[in-house]
Amino acid sequence: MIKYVIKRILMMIPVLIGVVIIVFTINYFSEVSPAVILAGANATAEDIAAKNAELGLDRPYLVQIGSYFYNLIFHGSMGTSYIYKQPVISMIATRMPYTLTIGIIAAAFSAVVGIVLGILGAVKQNSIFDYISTTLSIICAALPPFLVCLGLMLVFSVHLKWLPIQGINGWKSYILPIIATGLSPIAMTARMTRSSILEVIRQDYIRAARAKGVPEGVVVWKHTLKNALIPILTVVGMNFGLSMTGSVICETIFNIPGLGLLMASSISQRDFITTQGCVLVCAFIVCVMNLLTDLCYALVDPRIKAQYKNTGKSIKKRSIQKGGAAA
Amino acid sequence: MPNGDVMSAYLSGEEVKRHGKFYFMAKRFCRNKAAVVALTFIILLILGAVFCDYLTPYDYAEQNLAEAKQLPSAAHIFGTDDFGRDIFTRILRGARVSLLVSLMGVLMSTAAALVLGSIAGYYGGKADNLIMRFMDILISIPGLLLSMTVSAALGTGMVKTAIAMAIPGVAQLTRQLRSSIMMLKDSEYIEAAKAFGGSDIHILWNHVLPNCLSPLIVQFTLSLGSSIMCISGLSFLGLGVQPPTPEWGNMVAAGQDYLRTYPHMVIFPGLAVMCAMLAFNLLGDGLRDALDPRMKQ
Amino acid sequence: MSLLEIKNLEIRFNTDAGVVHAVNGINLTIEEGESFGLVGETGAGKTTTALAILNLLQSPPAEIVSGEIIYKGQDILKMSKNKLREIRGEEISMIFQDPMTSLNPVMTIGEQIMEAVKYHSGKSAADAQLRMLEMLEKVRIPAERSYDYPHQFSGGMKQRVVIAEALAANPALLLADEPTTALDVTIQAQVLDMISSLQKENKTAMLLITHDLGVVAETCKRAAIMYAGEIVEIGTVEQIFDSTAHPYTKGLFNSIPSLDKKTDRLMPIRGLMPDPMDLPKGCKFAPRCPYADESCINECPPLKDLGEGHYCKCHHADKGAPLYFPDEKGNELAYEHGLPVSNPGNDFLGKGDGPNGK
Repeated sequence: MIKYVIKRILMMIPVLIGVVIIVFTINYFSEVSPAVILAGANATAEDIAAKNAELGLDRPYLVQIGSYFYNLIFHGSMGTSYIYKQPVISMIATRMPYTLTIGIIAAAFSAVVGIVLGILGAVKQNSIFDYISTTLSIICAALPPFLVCLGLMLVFSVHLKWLPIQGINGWKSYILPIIATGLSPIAMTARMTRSSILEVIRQDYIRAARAKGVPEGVVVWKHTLKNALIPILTVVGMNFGLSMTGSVICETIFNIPGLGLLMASSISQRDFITTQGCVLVCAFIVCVMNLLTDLCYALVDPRIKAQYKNTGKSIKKRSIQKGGAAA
Repeated sequence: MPNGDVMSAYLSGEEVKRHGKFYFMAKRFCRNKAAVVALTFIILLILGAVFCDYLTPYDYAEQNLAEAKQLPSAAHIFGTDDFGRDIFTRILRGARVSLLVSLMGVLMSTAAALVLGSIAGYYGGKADNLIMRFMDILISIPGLLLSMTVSAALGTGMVKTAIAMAIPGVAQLTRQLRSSIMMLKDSEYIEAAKAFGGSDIHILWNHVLPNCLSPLIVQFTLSLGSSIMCISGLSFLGLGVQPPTPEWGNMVAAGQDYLRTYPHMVIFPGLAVMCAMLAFNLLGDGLRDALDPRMKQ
Repeated sequence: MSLLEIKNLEIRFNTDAGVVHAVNGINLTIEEGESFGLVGETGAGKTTTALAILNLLQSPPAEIVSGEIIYKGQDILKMSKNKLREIRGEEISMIFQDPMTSLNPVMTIGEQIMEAVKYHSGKSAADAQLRMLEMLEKVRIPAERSYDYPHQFSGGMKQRVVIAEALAANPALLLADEPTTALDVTIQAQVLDMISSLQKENKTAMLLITHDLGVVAETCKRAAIMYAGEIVEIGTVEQIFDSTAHPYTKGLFNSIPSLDKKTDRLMPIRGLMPDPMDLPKGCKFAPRCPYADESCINECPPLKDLGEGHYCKCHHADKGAPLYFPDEKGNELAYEHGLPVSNPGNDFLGKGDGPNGK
């Protein structure tokens, strides 16, 4: 098992290197150079060239990317922001807590609410409750994040004046961003839970458990849920990655000084080195979440655990996702 | 028992022959009311987008400061924005941009995925390894972030935004196509086609891909919805499609400053995004049930 | 009083495509400790009947239109959920067809066997564990494997686990739904022997569902033949094998290769089972029956008493007329009712020894 984890962690390295290369390449061929923005509107060609030289952007592609990796690996540095002249890594570090707080609470809360709603929907299939929760989750899954954020702000901050509008000012400031981030994950988790449970509940072993006289509650919570958990875990893990994406819009609207706002501003100001650092951190979080999800699979399903143990080979998630039917 | 066997027994071969496979798909699709409503909505939206110049008496770009910031009324059913432009007209015009860009983007990513997925799934080996590792990298960057980065580098405009949309979509579609091709590859009728000496391209095009079509069509529909959402997100953040070209996302961004007093400037374009996304999701679900009845609960 | 009495049971499934008439008014009784065979083709309604006995049919789509299932004097179909739960597992238990799918993949087999005991009155966890170990020993699975998961077992072993599960609470009635169909031929007999011996040891009554007449001959005292949701013939195994009355039963015997008799070709029953959504008005077997006449097509035959508990649902059952099936060339093989020498069922049992004559 430990062997498997180490192997997976090692496999993350080429992925992250790839992420850096891709983002770097995209930025390198950018239409608008950071220097143009920095030099200002009335800059001459010389000004821009000087800025380029100052930022080291006049060097060849391979030199630039090589020095980025060199600094990253040997100095643990992600470079210095073109705009703020601060080390990117420390900027990310000061902003990370806000984004993580919102992301983790929203993910946990959406997982719990989504799973409970999904189970209730599946158990009371075709009831009014099921109908309402299914409809609501279809709608919530289609809500654009900016509409949710602005709508919540309009109702709770502008009209009811219960919660602060923008910025971070005490715990109340977190409530709306958490709800806004968690809403569509709730819907997705609920939908996935419902369909996964309905899939499992018609399996022979559930009927067999009922034939043994196992109480219905145990049938649902122990026999069914554990088997239905793999696709649910996948969605919950994915949602955490999505909350990183969602933070860009959510933090922009609520003006929260987190990673999302940093990304949005660095992209629009062509502060590419900062963007690159942010994307790298996001990709890292996504990879870690994937690994955690895969490890959770092993906790849930003994067949997957056996595979991890025996081969130590990477288990492709997509083969497991389909009902957990490992051969 | 009353499962697939009975269902297929119920549809006699003759009946299938008489009406064709499509008839039964359409029949199954029409049974799903939500999907039919969604399809109707999408058709109306497309018509509205195409004929928006003739449908309303207003011009989408012409400013009329005398009528600025009006709440919804009989003359302006969705009200007017801060420059006095009719929001309904702008939403229809915005639909043109949203639908066109997302269609372009999804077509691009599907085309790329068809090539990459076919190579990876059908040939396997080194090519598969290389392509899939690259997809692993792409998929580990959250979609909107990647689109934002590409969009910032490429600059604004419809085609460039479409490219920015397409790149994150490639990874998911490729993975999906690859796994369906890999499942089909070893089936006996593909072996048979090989035994008859069909060329790889011939087998792929005539035997493998048609059988991957249903999930692909469903994914295509769902992607259209999610890219509309993504485009509006990009435009909202000031990337993607720029004013004065109306796009739902940039309309929301423009109306954001008047949220306290004139929330309709935000709500209507926002609802337009939601309805479009909802319609494509419902359509995708309906298509999935119609194309592959086994998936239905 | 019989242990189980099914009266006039009628079950249908309301599906999108139409109403499936799965079980159409069957009657049968099972005495305490008795083994009863229920024989029929796939889709004849055997499994539906068994699930109805445990009231496990998913509703919708299933609907029990009419009938009673009396177990020890109480109607199972009218029991409260709680009462039902008490009966399931402890009084009546079931072995499902496919051991591959009837064990929960994420629970250890020990846990699953214990569950059958644990949730019933007055059993502590320790009792359950003792019983589990005892059952494992009986089905010859080493005790240390109780911590293993189903995927670590072979098909035959899984079915033995399922047997242990079904018999752990010492039920009065065991429903065995094609317990050997999904297994390799080589271990079918072994598993069947195990079920039989455990059943006899515990004096458990058994309803054995199968499409294999040989299995019935080996294990059961009485049997019923089911066709299109109806019981077409019911009686002791001797009666059914030695004096086969229903044309369908004869057809079944004819479809089985016999070791004792040289046969050039088997004689299958022509045609298919009727569409359960559109059953024939009269005798359900009439469209395939070489014997069918006007009355068969128009009138549903009653279950006729042929004496000594032998019943047959056929207009021609008591006439003693020869029943024959033409083969493909049109040659007719005649069966004389009541004449064992020409009875195919008898060939099958081997030289007229009788079903349990070994």
